[in-house]
Order: sequence, then structure tokens, then C-alpha cells
Amino acid sequence: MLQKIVSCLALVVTAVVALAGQQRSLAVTALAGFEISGTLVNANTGQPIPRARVAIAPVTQRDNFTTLITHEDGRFTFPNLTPGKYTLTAQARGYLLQSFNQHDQLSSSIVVGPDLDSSNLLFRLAPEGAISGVVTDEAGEPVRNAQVMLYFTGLSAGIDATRPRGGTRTNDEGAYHFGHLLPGHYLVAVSAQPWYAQHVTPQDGSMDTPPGQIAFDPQAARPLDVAYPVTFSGGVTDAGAAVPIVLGHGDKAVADVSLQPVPAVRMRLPESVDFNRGSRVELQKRVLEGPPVRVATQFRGNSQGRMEIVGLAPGRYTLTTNLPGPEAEKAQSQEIDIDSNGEIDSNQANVYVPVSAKVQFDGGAPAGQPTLQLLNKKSGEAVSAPIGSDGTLVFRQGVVPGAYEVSLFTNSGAYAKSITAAGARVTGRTIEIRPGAEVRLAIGATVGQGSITGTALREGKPLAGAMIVLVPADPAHNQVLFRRDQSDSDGTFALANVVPGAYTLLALENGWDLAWMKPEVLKNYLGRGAAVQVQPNGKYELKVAVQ
Amino acid sequence: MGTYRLLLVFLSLLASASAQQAPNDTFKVEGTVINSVTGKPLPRVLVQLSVRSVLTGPEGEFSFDGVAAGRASIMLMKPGYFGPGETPRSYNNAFDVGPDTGKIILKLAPEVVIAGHVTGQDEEPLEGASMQVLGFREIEGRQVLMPVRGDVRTDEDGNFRIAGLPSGRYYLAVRAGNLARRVLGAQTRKAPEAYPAIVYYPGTADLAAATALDLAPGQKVDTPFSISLSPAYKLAGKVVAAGEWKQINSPMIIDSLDQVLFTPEQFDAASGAFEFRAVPAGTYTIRVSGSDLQNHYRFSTHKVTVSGSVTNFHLSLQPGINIPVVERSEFNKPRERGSSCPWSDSNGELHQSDCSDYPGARVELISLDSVRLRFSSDWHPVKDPSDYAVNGVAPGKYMVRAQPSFGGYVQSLRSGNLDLLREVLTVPEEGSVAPIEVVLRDDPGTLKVIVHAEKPGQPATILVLPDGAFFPSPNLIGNTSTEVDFPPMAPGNYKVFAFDSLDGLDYGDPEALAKYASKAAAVTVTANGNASVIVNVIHNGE
Repeated sequence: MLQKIVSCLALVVTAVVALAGQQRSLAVTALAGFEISGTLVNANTGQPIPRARVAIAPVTQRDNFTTLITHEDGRFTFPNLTPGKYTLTAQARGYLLQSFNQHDQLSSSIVVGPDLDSSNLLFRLAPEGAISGVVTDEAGEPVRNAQVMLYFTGLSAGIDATRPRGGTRTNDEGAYHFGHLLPGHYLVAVSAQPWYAQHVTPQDGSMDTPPGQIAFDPQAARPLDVAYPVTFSGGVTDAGAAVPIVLGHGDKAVADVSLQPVPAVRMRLPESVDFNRGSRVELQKRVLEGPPVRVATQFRGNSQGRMEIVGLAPGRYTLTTNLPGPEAEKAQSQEIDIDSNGEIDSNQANVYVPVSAKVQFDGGAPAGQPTLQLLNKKSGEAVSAPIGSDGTLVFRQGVVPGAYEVSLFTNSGAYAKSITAAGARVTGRTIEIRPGAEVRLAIGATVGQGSITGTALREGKPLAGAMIVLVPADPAHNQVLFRRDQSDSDGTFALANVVPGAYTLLALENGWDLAWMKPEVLKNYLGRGAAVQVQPNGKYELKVAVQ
Repeated sequence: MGTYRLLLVFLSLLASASAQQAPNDTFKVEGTVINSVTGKPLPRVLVQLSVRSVLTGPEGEFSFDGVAAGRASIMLMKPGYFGPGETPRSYNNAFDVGPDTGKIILKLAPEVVIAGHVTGQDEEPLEGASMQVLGFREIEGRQVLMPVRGDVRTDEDGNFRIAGLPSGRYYLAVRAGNLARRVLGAQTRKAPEAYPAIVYYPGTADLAAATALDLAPGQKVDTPFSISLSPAYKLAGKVVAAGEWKQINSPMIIDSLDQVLFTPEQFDAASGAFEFRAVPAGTYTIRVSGSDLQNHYRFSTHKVTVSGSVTNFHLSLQPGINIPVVERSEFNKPRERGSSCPWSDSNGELHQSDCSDYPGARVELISLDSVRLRFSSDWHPVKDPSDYAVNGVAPGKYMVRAQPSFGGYVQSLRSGNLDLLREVLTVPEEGSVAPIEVVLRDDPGTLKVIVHAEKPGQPATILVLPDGAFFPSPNLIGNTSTEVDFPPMAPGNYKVFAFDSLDGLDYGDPEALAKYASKAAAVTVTANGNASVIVNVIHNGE
């Protein structure tokens, strides 16, 4: 059952569901009087969790909660239930808010009724971890308002990757805190400017120093013309050398970060930038593979009358320039390396590629605000643009070259049935955007997504808590077509919004530890999956054997 | 610079009479920065003297070589510290550079810290509660209570910590109205519960009953809160907009300082239907707003008392009242205008005008009811008399100000029988307001103010207040140590004040100034005349 939980934190627990193995209770004939009961325990230690909130709600009325508090022995009982499917969720201080047998955003709903056992559940709640620390400067003083970014490295939604997991800022004591964390490998990155930094441009000072003034001395200015490079936990500035923080269940880790200034460099802006004509400039920096982080910028005119951004640490930046009014389409983004001399090597600049599209909807454009999304397969970053009423759209600032998957978001449930491109190679849902080659996409869209319901079976009996994965043909180029669920206590599952096409349906026990989106992992299982050809508006009922 | 405060030991632009040295003589300036509370030296303070910056050493020491003789100024900065006073205009600490300069001692006051803990339902620490600090800030010369720090949330242990504030009087509030959704099951459909929308320290929903925190430099206070869930009710209904609108916005429940407390869970712009799902019992202000056909923001506010579910509450959205403006220029010589007045039409297209078709003054209505509410006359070419108006004004009381666009001064400002330079304009719920008539003239007089200070070089802020007026026009405030020539001004009778500091002084309030009236100098400015007046420095608070 796809579970929209209240918390936005996902969770991986190696919980074992023992429902299918439990004894069947005696058949109960009344139509009410069923119960959901069990014990709430620490998933790590098995200890009962007393005085915690546990709530159920019918899956058809997710905001219709019945809530109770667990006893001293962790027991909870919801009596007098009518037959049906219920979500079961628990909340306790020191634990992540979780639904029953939750993995990522998926969990198993509990089905109650005749011949079903919904008592004596073992509800395992994972204790949460935290990472905190203090950011100090080169003098050991706290750095206030530093931007602290948290990255998680590991398996998430079937992909093994490093992804941003949150951001915060330090307080007046330089302290930061990330709570409610899953076990795993983490990195902390800190971005800050020295509070005292002075990025003075040498000027041709007059020979006479006015009363009460002092002559400009570039030598004297240098010690304060400094910047902090992005610094990782462990105090390193090279992402590759950063040592991950390994967080176990319930661990509270400390990661202090000390910042060391380096001489600041300047970035000369392109000649096309003219602030008098309303140009706007934005500088961003990509930390690890995450989405770019905005960099605070200070502008100065240099002696040649060109504008510069001052106070930067050497490194790679993304520079976006915008012009107002009719020249807005000249907006441009480029990735720029600035070395310690502050010069831009324009040959190295990785200029964003203009991408436009025309979407042809069968039966006219849908109501609402349809959008087209491009998902970067390497960074996981999604960029989207609204589709105009004439079906056209443009990614105004261009797109970083790379491989992307294309998908549509509409109120009507329309999906892309055909994708072609001028300027890029298309394979399945994937387009390869190359440097310097403008891309024009042509997309045919129609409505009629299918759906699949079914039951996961092991040795002919329904199995709860199995991971259900709907794998598209050519999975490497069609990641956006994957659909996923987790079987409920009666072994049932449901997959909605399935784009018509050929699929293989898999049910995997303990599939949570697999990079299941990777073709080389999938190939071990595909042979024993259930093949299904989904037609437009098709509805399918399948039984699938658990592997 | 984010949260850092610029600490200004403020500059004086006037050369001191004591600077006798030849301009090419240079001297060493040295000194120490200390903590004003502990008296201890402060290391790593940024010290700036003209174009040069240094950090103080371990003993708070700093020095500059090669400073030209004359009047100099120093700026200090360090996170967590403030100068004496906090507005640049409030003080002035320049010094003379010469052979007798000696060592300078400069002081910085440590910030105050407000820390605490919020306990929620089941005696559990409440995470994610939004803490807000209210403090006094000067707006139009009045000390107005407004949010000075927001966006601080309690951590997972319910703790919060707010720093970076100068000493002063503060109020603290916790806003937790939307936090019940974090309590599993609290927002159940059958009997929803919610935390109170806003609680002021130590535990009241009423700002007037809250306890002020009077904090001295370096002081840290602990301010615990305890709040709990209470039954919440549905508040649903419809926004009923009068006339035609480009866009209707979602209604909002706001507090007494216009801060949003609740946004509805559901809102349909087409029908105007809205639903707040779980509002705790209480009396609230709801604001409805939209954009009219000219794309102007308009709003109406309504009071509602929630003590049970409300399902058919109608909120009317009025377009506001349009007040025409009529300008009469009694100029003796042709006015000089710029040549380039760019403007963009409702499609965002840019046009150029030679300015000749622009209104000669901008009229602004400043609300006396709501802190930041103001309405201005449109700034675009007047093709038709109806193009010159203050549109969509919400009901309430306003002071009115007119600013000449192309020179001249405002000789009179009236609406019907009201003298808007001296009287409040009341805009009714319905009906109309008599046109605002602006008379501009170009025969201003000049005014020279000579300050008599006890100490030579003592700084002062000069206020020139037209007799009977509401508030001094901002361009009549100077900052000087000896004398100042004011820009040409309207003929009339004025009171001139020279204060050593404006800190905490409601100088925009004629009653607050009235008690200093005996120390003010009176002067009459005549048309095309040159008036001058001598005024003694008034010690603020004496």
C-alpha cells in the first residue's frame, strides 16, 4: 500500500513481517468486533515502547484517525473494528514517525475481517539518529549563520547515490543540528563567508589624502580579502577526501567543522552583463552531486570598467545571467572554473543548452498547469517548465548537458506516448543533451494510464510486506516508468498511473536493500517475474510469486 | 551581511576647526576596543578608518599609520556586538587626528540572548514551533512595535535560542497553530485539535497582557512556554468579491501585526470557497485580498469569532475607494523636468515619456491603523484626469503626504475642507472621498540652522517641524555638528529642534515633541527669503 505518511522522512528498516507465518485465528462471524492489536518495540533492541501514540485510519479515509497511547509493556489494542483495510502509524519521542513495516514511503496496511489475523502485530519502530556540531573560524570563534548542508550516501528508492538530505544554518554559537535521521553514511558541508572579509578593489588614489583619511594600501588590504571554501566534516575542502559520518540506529553523532580562509578571487563578468540595462546575475555552486546552492555575491567595478564578483573561493561555479524584457531569452547559464588567479577560462565554460519542446495533446491541452519535467539521471535533480496553452515550452536558462528522463505532469493524467528530438538522441524516456547542441523536443501526449492490482504469493499463500516493483522494458532508459508498492497484510497491492507499455512485475522479499533500479541487479529477478502488456486504460489483476 | 550589525562610530562630514596642521601631515591613530559591560578588551573586531580595515589584536588593540590630519571617523563591527545605540543616525563619535590624538578607547555592547523551551501536548518538547521577537522600530518618526526576528523554530528537544539583538524592550511570541499536524492523529476528521495560533510570553493570546522583556547589554533570559492542544473547528465559507477582479487570493487569518496565523487547507479561486479545517476557539481577523483589473492589490479585513464549526461564512472583498488627485502648479518660471521617464504598461511593456505628461507630485496615504499599510498615487503619464488618483484605498485613518516630482514645494494639501498637512484623512467603508488638491509653488525660502553645542564638534540631529503639522518631512532632518543649510522649503512658521540623539524619541508624534517645545527655536521662512536660526542642543530625555 502506498502510504503518504505525515513525516517527510523516509526510512529503511530491516523489519521482518511475520504475519503470513502466524497462526490463523478462529473464524469470527460477526461483522464488527474485529481488532488490530500488537506491541510497539524498538526495532533495534526489541524493547517495548511505552506511552507512545499509535493511530489507525481506514485507507479510504486517511484523516479519520483513532488514536491511543501504548501501555507500559508497549501493547496497543484497537477493538470493535469493522472489516476493511487500515493504516497503522506510531509516534514516539526519539523515534521516526512510521507506519507499519515502513520502507521508504511504502508500508503495509492491515486488513481486518473474517479469517484474517490482525492481532499480536510486532510493530517495530526505528530509533532516530542525529548529527550536530559547531562551526568555528580560524580563530576558534563560532561562525554564525553559516549554511550547513547534509548529504546522505546510500540506497534510496532503488538507486545508490549521494543526495542532499537537508540544510540549516548555524546559530550565534556556531551550532547546527540535524535530527530525525536514518542510519547510513552522511557528509556535512559548510558554506560561509568570513564576517570580516573586505574585498576592496585597488583604485587609482589621488596623491593627496583628504583630512582624516588614509591612502589605500593594497598590501594592507590583502589579509582581509579572503573567502572560505566549501568545507566538509573533517575539515577537508576536497569532497573526495571527506570522511563520511557513519550513523547507526539511534546514534547521535558530532561533526564539528573548522573553516580556514584562503585568498579570495574575482570573477570577471561577461561583457554582455550590463546592470544599467537591468541585467541580473546569479551565482551558484554545486556541492557534491546535489542541486546548486546559491552563493552570496558582491559586485565591484574593476579598473577597465567591467563588473566583477569579488570574494570568491577558487572552484567551480554556475553563473546565470538574465536580461529583462524582450532580451529575456538570452538568459544563459554556464559552469565556470575559477583558479587561484581568478581568471575565467572561457574554453572550459560548460554552457547550458537551450531546450524547448512542443507537446501535442490528443483532444487539446488539459486544464490546470501542465508541466514537463527533465530528470537528470546523474544528479537526480529535476528541472521543469510550464507547458503553454499552445503546447510549447522553453527551459529559459537552458539545461546542463547530460542524460535526462522526460515526464509530463498534468491534472488529467496525460502521459507522453511519443518523444522525438532534434539535437539530441532519444532512447525510451531518456534524452542525451550534448554541449552546444540546442534541443527541440516533440512530444505526443494522451490520456489513459492503466492500473494493476494483485496479490503477492509465497508457496501459494499471500505474503505481507513484499516489495512490488513494476519494471518497464529497457529499464535503464525508462526510470520514470517504474512503479512500486508494498503488499498489505493480506498480500494485496495496487499500482496506479501506469503508462501503457510492456512491463515485468516483480515481488521481492527484503527487496529494500537492493539497488532495484539498476539493470544488472534486476536481471537476476526478471526471469521469474510476471510479464504484463499494459494497454491504454487497462486494468489488470495479477498474482505474482515472491522471490 | 546577514545578521551582522554595522556598528558605526559615526562620521561627521565637517572638518573640525581645530585641525591646524598642513594637509600633508600624517599621524598614527591607535586605540583599543573593549566590551562596554565587562570592560575587557575585545579581540578580532573589524576596525575601519576610511579605506583601511584591520582586526584588533588579542588585547583589543589596533593602529593605523599615515592618517591625514583632520576630522576622522572609525567604524567597528563584530558579530554579537553593537555600538552605543543601534541606528547610524543616533550617535556620532568622530575624533580629531593630530599630534594630540592620543590613544582612543572604543566600546562595543554585547548582544542580548533570548533562549527557552516550549512544552507541548503530553508534556513533550514541542518541535518546530515558530518563535517571534517583537521590538520597537522607528517608522516615520514613531516607535512602532513590529517583528524584529522571526523564522526561529524550536529544535527536536523543544529548545530555541535567539541572539543578535541589541539591548532594549522586546516581546516574545510562539506560533504553533499549524503544528497539530505533527501530532499523530490530532487532526482527525471527527474531533480535530490544534495548538493556539499565537501565545505571547509568558502565556497570553493578548499582546496587551504580555510581559515585556527589558534586556540590558549582554543579558540572557530564559523564557519557557507551555502550550497544549484544544478542540479546533472548521471555518468554511466563501469570498464574495464585489465587481470584477483579475485574481482573488486565498483568505488568511492574521494577527494584530498582520502576520499570517492560518492559511486555509482548501481554497477555490473560481468560486471563492475556502475551508480552514482546524481553528482553535477564539476571535480572529481574516484578510481577503485580490488583484483588480488594473492589477492593483486590494484587500478587506473581517472579524470572526470561532466557538464551533462555521460552514457558511461570507467574506466580502471590496475594491477600495478611489480618491482623485488634482494638482495646481503656481510656478513663476517653467519647471525643469527630466527628459526620460520610463514606464511600463499593464502588459509589462516598457515605454518612454519626456516627463511633461507626468503628475507634478506623488501623493501618499500612510495608515495610522496598520504598521506598513500605505497607498500611493500612480506614477505614469496622465492622459486623462482619472489617471491621477490614489486607487483602492482601504477604509481607515491616514496621514497624507505629497512629494513634488519635479521641484517646487507643497503649498497646500487639501481634501474638501480638510487641511491634510495638519489633519487626519478618514476613508469610509463605502461612499467617496473628496479629491485631494495639491498646490505646488516655486518660490521657496531657505533656512540656515546654526547649532550651539556645549562641546565643540558635538553632533546633533536637527528637526524642522512646520507649526501645526503632523510629522516632520524626512528631508528636513539633518545631521551635523555646527550648521546646516536646508533645501529650499515652503514659506511658513517652523519650530527647530537640535537633539543629541533620537534614540527612543517618538519625534514623529507632535505630542512627544511638545515637551521640548520651550527649547526649540522658532523661525519664519518667507517666500524667496533667506532665514537663519540659532538653536541649542537638547539632551534627549532631559
